[in-house]
Amino acid sequence: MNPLATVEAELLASVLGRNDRTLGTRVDAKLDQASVIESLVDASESVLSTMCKITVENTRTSSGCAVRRNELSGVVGLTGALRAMVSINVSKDLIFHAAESLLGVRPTAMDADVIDLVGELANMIVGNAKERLHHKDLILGLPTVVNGTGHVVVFPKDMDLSVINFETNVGGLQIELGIKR
Amino acid sequence: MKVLVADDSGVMRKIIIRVLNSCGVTDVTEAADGQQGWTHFQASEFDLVLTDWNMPEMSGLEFLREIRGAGSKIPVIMVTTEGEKGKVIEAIQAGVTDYLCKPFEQEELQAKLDRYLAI
Repeated sequence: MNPLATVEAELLASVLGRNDRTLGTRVDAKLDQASVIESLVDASESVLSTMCKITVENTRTSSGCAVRRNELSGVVGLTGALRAMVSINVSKDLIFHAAESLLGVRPTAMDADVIDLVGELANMIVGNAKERLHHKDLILGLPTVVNGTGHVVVFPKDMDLSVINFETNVGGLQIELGIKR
Repeated sequence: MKVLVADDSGVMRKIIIRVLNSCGVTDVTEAADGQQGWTHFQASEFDLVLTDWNMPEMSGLEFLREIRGAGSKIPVIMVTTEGEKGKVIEAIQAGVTDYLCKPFEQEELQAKLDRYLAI
């Protein structure tokens, strides 16, 4: 690898400096369930407050499947050093608020932008959590969006499941995490 | 001022275009992946390119390499969730002008745009 010129080195320092401030400088990557949950909680708070001005607080985390039925879910897989599936479940109120904050107009219906935003937020939350784990061998999949009141996301049977509950100032947010045993 | 925005997320393109509009830029071309971006780039003159990294067909990094391979020195800003050091170095070595990790505050993007739109 060629050494970077001054301008390039300054850009690298600036990008990594911002990342250290926003993602932390944890270097010993542990990929157990507790670390992944912690990174997802931190990533959710960061993404929703930074991008959408939504305050998020983790209220409870438990093992097993979610009991609550969902309105909208963004599902993203992680592969490589870990095989995991993450479902970011949001209420219509939360995603409408996020859309209004980002696009300047509150949606009146579940249109293509709203569906796209669910996938983009899921992508950003899981991507940001991946960066917080500071592990090179983790690959982020493309998000899939599920839209339908009362739906349930079914995880493979060989995964240990956790449910991460949040309180927000605008609507419901819950994350389901499955990690392959 | 003519700007090309490449991102496979339609809503992310709208978010970026909203910030561009707030900076006074209204002449914006959209591309849903790097290949579309490269096609637009070859067909028209642009003053600035903003591109995502992870896109189908052609990634933002490949798109950047095509631009630099063609000898263009146009400012290219990578707007991506990829924040790992090795990835950032890869983009810098490919000739990226600036780099913004998602999530970002709209003011952060605005500050970067102000820098390149003023040139």
